[in-house]
Amino acid sequence: MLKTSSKMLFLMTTIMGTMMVVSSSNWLNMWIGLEINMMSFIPLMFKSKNNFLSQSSMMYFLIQSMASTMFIIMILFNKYMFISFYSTNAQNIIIFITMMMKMGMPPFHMWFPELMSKLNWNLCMFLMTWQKIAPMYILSIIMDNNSIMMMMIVMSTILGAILGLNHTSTRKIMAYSSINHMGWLVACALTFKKLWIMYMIMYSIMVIMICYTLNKYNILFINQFNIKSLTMVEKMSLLIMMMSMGGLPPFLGFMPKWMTIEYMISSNEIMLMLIMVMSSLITLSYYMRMISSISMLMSNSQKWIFMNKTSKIPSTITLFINMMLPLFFILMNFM
Amino acid sequence: MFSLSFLTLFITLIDWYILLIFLMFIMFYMMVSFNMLDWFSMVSYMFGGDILSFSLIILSFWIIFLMVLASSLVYKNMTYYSEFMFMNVLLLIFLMFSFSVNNLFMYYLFFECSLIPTLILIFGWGYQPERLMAGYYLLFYTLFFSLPMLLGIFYINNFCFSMFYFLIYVDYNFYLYISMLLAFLAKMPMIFIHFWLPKAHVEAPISGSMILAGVLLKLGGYGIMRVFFFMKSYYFNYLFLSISLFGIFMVGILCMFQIDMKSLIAYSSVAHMGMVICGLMCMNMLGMIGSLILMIGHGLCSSGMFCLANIAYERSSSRSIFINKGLLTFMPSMCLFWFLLMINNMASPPSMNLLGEILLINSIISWSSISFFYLMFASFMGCLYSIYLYSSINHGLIYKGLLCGYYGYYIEFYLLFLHWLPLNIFFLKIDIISLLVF
Repeated sequence: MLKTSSKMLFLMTTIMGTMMVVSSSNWLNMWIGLEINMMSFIPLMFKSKNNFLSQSSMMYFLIQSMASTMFIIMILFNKYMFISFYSTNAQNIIIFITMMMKMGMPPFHMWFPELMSKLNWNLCMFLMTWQKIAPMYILSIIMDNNSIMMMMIVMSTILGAILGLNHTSTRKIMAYSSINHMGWLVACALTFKKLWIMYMIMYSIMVIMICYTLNKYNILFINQFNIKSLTMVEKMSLLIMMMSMGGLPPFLGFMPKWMTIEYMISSNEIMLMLIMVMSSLITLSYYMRMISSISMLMSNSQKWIFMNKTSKIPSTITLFINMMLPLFFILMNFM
Repeated sequence: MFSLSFLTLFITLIDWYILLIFLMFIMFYMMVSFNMLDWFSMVSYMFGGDILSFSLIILSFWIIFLMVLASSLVYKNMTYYSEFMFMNVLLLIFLMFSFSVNNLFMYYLFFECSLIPTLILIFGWGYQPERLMAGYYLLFYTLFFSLPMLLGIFYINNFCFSMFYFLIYVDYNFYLYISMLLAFLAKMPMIFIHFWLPKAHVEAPISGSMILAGVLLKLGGYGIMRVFFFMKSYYFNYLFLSISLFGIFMVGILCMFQIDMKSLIAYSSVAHMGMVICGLMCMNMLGMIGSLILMIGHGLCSSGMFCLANIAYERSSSRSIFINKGLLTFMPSMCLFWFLLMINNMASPPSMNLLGEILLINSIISWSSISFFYLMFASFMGCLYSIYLYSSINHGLIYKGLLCGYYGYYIEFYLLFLHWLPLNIFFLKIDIISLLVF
């Protein structure tokens, strides 16, 4: 991606689009930023020889442009272009819905796993982390605590947990896990505005590590974990990475869960929190199932598929980052 | 205390017996440096301990030491032995932290942390492919019941702005009560939520079984004692008390059906832990002291029994008691240890189990005198399954395949002796436990 200059250009404009959204004080600028972001992400997906990628760019364009159209109609209904909190409730809800379409939150999530299963791992990583920021920002500034938001959070966490159980494609599983985490993100934004940024940072770190590793081993389906002969450190690092993603305590992934639970309980959302926590247990089950074949460390794998020359350094680094819960605990205090 | 964590950085460089010497050294240092006060002592911002935590810390040091000693096969076969040592020491650190923190949330954190090395021990060094399912049972049982506890802990923090054990004062209701207790009861385990335990024990390697029976079950009992500092409800305790009272009897019967040595020992630890739950739920002084003594005694005893089962398993490659027969003619001196640990399991005189059971029976009968009916049968069943296991392993016709094996090693006798010795010698200074003050 980085070698061709046009891709580099579009990567920069994608990043710039999100930056525009995040830093604008004006609805129209936000819309422009979203459009730039969308229009420059499509060429990133495009590769002329691959049929899947052109399909996926079409799918992405249709969904995103529909959402953008609804978004601009809604902001043109507003009397003022500046961001105001006094817009009516119906307008707010429709803006929520457009942003949820852009992010792929349930019930508008159908395109998201389909799209993910057609992309390569780098684009999946980009879609799960960076492309979430702009819509999530817009969502967070107009959000208020109403029952529709609660419903969306519950739906997102439960659907993300349950729908992911029945898939074998790791990219689809990661897409459903992303849907589940979006529910947590919205819950964070509901209680404390700064919290979702911290959540996003840590979630992005974990997703980047997983996508990097799975891209390196070229694993697209869960039965492919077993056909590589991995070393002990690599097995351990994959195991710990998945446990971290599932939010088990000594690892990094527990940190966002911890923050969210603490703030949610302090704003008395106990029942909502119980549902979210239990659904994250279900996501843990599919993370664990992904790596079940290599989590048996002594199991045999076929030695005739030799890996390319690998260094231990990346897996050691991922292992190390996953163990950095105390450090992140300190870092998050300064944010 | 923290020097051990630095030790793990060099774990791949050192040999296993040097690690053992380090462990013993640190334990000895702790026993010397800890002044046996009757109240929380050596308190810092996060750590501190009373007799309850220090006795369990020393137990966990002892069990980890014996774990490394028992799995010399890992060292001999070089099956990822440095990673194995790393997991053991990591587990020890987590256990030590979880017993010595004075913060409820930190206790939860390390309680959960101790799950991970156990899980990796089962996944990594277990024997059959079924260990995957056993590990998932362990993980999901524990998490399903402990995640509500996390919410409960934050609710308490939100309510009284402190998670320090002794400063918590909270108006609790039934939901908070259930959420705080079920995590520990699933870990203990109480009957009806014990299904993960026999699975995990059967599939775990010897080290995993030892630490599970020895210390990890005690995390639950320790947690219940800590939670009862501030949750002084008596209204719902009868639920768990009666279930456990029924359970220790039923599990005793269930033990008689087992043909798998490890599974039988696992069920017997469910029975013993049921008695501990009963004593804790009575919420009297006798019950608290008795359950601490029984927890330590059972930790040593059941860990020793797993060692014995593993010694037989290493010879015959089977855990079935139909195959392991007639060990009396095969390893006569090992039979002595079979006998000693079995009678300790059924609470014979100079053992900690006896004192613990006497205190617990007193406290339970003081709660309700009708419960003697269950206790009588439960105690009888305890004798019955211990004798059943002893006699069916040691007597009978020897399996001819065993004749190509060999006699016990010195290291195995050493291992068993170190299980047996504190179990019976600690009786002489058991009044330390009575310093446990609530």
